[in-house]
Amino acid sequence: MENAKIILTAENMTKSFGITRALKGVPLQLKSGEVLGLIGENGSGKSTLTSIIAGIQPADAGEIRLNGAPYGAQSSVEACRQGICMILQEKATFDHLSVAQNIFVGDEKRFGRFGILDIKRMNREAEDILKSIGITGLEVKKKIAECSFEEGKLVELARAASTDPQILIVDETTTALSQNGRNILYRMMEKMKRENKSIIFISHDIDEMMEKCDRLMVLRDGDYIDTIGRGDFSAARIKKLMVGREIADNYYREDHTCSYDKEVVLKLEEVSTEHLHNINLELHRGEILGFSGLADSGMHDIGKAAFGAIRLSSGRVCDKDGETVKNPQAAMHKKIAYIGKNRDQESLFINSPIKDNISVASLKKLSKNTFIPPRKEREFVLEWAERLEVKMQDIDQYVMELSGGNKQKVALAKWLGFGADIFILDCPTRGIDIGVKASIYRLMENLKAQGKSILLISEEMPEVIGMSDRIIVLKDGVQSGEFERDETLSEHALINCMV
Amino acid sequence: MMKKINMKKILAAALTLGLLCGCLVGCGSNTAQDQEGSAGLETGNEQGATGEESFKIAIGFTDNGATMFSLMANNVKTMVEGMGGTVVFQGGIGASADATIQFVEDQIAAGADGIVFGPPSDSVLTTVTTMCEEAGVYWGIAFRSITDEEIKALVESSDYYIGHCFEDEEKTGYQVMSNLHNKGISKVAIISMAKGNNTTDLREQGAQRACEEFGMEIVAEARDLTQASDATNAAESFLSAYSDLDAIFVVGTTGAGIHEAVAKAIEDAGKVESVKLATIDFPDSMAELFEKNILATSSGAPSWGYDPYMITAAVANACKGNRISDMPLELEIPMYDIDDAETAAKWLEKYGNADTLYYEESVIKDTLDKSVNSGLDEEAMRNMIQEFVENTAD
Amino acid sequence: MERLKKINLKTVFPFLGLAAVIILFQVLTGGKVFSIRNLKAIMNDSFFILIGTVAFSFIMAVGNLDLSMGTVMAVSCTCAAFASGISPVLAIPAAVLAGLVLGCFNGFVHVHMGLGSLIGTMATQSVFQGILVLLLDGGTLAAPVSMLKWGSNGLKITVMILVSLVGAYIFNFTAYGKQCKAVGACSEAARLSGVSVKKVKYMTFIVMGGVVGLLGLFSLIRTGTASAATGGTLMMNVWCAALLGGLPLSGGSACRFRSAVIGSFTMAFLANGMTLMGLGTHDKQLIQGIVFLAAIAISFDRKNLVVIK
Repeated sequence: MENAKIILTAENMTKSFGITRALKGVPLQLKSGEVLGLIGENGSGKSTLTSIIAGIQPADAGEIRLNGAPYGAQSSVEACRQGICMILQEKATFDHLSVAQNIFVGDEKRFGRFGILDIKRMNREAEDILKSIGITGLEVKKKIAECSFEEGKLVELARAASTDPQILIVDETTTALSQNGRNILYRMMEKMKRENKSIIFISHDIDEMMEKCDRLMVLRDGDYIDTIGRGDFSAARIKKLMVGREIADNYYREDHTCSYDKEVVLKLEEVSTEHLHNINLELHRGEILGFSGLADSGMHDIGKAAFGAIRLSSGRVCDKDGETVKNPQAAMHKKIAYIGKNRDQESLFINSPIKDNISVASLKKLSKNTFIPPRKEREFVLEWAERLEVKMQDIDQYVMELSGGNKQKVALAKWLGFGADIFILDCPTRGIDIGVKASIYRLMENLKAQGKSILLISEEMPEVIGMSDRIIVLKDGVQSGEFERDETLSEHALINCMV
Repeated sequence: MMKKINMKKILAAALTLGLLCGCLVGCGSNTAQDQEGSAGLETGNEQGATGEESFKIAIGFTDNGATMFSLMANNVKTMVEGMGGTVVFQGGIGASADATIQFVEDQIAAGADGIVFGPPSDSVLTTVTTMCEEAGVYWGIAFRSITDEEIKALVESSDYYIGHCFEDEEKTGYQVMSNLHNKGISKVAIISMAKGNNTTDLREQGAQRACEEFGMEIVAEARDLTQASDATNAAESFLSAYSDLDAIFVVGTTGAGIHEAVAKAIEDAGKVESVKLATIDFPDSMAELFEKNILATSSGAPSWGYDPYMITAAVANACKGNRISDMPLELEIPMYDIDDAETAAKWLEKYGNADTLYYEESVIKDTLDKSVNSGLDEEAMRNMIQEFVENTAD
Repeated sequence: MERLKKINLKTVFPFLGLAAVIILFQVLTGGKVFSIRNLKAIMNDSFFILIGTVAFSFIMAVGNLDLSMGTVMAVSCTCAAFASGISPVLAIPAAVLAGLVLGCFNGFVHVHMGLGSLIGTMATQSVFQGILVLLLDGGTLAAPVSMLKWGSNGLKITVMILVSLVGAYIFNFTAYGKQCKAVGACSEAARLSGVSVKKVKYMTFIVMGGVVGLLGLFSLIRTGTASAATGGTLMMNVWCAALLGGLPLSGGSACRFRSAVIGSFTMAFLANGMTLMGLGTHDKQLIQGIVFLAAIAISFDRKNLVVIK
């Protein structure tokens, strides 16, 4: 391993977006047959670096060599032809094409016969590829639009496998995958390793990184920090390198007692939706109620249903006075706040300034006889942005330009400014670096201490276990288990209820 | 960034304020200032070739190159320029009240001293009267009469309304029928536009009057034909249903080739001898139809452009400070009848040519310009018109 | 700094456009643009464009479009003409009410029937045209002469300033204005932030209807006539003004109220300048078309390409 051949080197990679310097002269060395982990907080430059290597965007300066020869792919197709393939964080499949067509997109010529696409052969080969990487139960004729997000990601995986790349770049893909999907990816990575091929792996999950990677390269704010070999891995050290300071080992709640008032502030009675069946639950004052389950367990519907944002097929949601929550306006009237799982589509106006994003929920409060004084609005927004320590130039900066963590802070500032009593948080730390993550956890604790209630829906089990007073596990839209906060509660117990 | 935004806001506010103030000043000004303004415009404007004070007349008809329009435009231009003014043409007014008002407003703004147009309805005239009075602009109407009594009184009380040139549509309808009567025809089928159309309604009234007077009869009618094939169908059913039919009278149409389609239907039915065709306005194929002995008579204005021409002459004189009459002019253009191939050919030769002049330049100078011919009054103009119509095909 | 420069260029463009149009025609016509008489004509031109664009800017902020405004104006004008036959004063409520009802119908089609605004208003435009023809029975209607005297310039300027001020106030300083922009920015996020998306969209159409109804009334006062051709040029003018002013087709926070004002005056000066130059209708139409195309090409943000709903 130590003497393995270096197949890819990058020197002095530099890239700026406007005033933001995303990469400041970063080097990279990739050996054959290794998994190189890239780790760093949001905005540290991981995705920028890898997307340059994958030919998705050009670097401002720097040199890349592939197998010793200068390399400069102008597009992802060209990179692919040279054996470098990348699986993106974002969705990269075509909704109206079938699974098979997505796998072979850009490569249809292979199946051409007198200008006609041999769909049968394409489907057959697609099935072979799916089978070879261990994906079962995915119909190749199905349109991507009908597939779940996870299935879409698996299709991208299959697409990458079909090109048989020399270097595979996996950017933050595991967050979208269930355990089963992750296993498929891990198997694929191991197989590539055995074939002496290389992988660049990006994930926020430090444990996962330590388990899967041979070396870890740490980036911070576009700077290269350090590379650690497998023998020197330690979570504390990595976190310190990432953040640049010491991070407490456990950033979850430190108490281990289940505590909340008796008063019920929100109630779901026999609630059913497309994905949920007869859910009953009570949220109490000062309680953090966690939800855990597989991606398709229907737990994301709980949040929306509790906020009145989706149509219930039966049952009702009501507040402490027994009044029904029919729609988001009614929910807000009861001081309920909601942060959705898809931050950029559900919580934020990314093409708008921070100001508009924070004030939108509090317009009623800010207006005096219909008039909203601009000064009052600015002061209000500034106050809450500062309280949440949003890193920004000013409140007129566009949300689009912020990192994931700061975006989430803006979304939180909106609801804290609004003065909500009940917070429905769906995957609040999804794709967020540990610095911001920790501050969100502190915030949740503060809210609890103030007697506010939180409905926490999360795909990350440690987070749910670490933060909740009670945990409800969902399986196929039905409650399959309920746990109280306990030091001894393990992920294993939850998993047993999920599958 | 903050500063930038404020600058922009201030700039926007300042610009808006400036513009609005401009508008306020413009509208708050009294007539005296207005006249000053217009006088300023005139002197700053194109100087007439003669060196006299120039004037500009806006004509609300297009100059789009078709013979009919070009003939009008050439003549009007020759006449106005001969009198020392300039002229602009603007089409596209059509049946739109909005466009008419816009036209008048724009042209006043552009410094016109006189305006001539054909209004789509009486109701626009109230506003036109006010606008022209405020701006001190003379104006006249071509092709139309004002039927609404209230509006008529209001318009005619204005000092800037010169008058109108018009055809008497009722009389035209009557005239065609009486011509047919003279040819021994009594049973007639008509092709006309939908009820409610001012022009054809009047023509039909006239036809009806002739029927009562001469004991003729309208036995059938077809309306609102837009295609030649519709006309063929209509004519065929007339011919088969009324064996004693004497003539088909095309009172008015908007479609092309209607006359020809009717003629062909008559021909195909082998009834050229017994059934005749009559029309208003001269169809393009007039000469040929006379030749075939299908067309019995056609009545029309001597030339389409003569209407705007004469009223423009009156407006031009007013612009030069010599009104034809202190009362609004009523200049009726009589219809000219053509009932043989020879006359038809002569007419076509004369007015099928955009270069034909209604009056030679010398006539314009000596007769139509009141500053030279001080005897020009309403009566004199009527005589000119009468003479012109009588000499249509000479 | 680079980012700032880029954004500023785009926001400054409408100002430059207005200035360029004014200077160009001022030079070409030898200073006739600012003659007193001409300013009056510009005021009259901008009256309909400005008021229409003010109302339209709300529809654009939401990210919608309206193809039916011209016809709504004609129907309102016709209703006002009918009402004025009973009593001239009745024309005012009749026009506004007719506009509101048709606007409501537009809202119904877009919000409840779930049709995209472009297709929806294209369909309603056709429906309204049919209603118009039925009402007018193929002819025209005239207003009583006494009504035409209402159309003083003072009234027009007052209405223009009032509508602009109220529009600016609602657009910039009220919850409703901000909610419109929020819906345009991302309707799902707006919904999940407590904005009643349907109500907001409905309101934009109703307001548009009411305002265009008012324009119908003024059209009747101005021309004394209600005909099928009434309002025929409104839509093109308003669209041009909105785009020239820099309102983005995608809606959202990039919508500025000043765009409506700047764009309207640009259009008014442009149309007026061409008349002063003595251009015919056909030339004007051609030039206006080219300007429209240029305005879209410049203002269209291809990166944030959003399909207009």
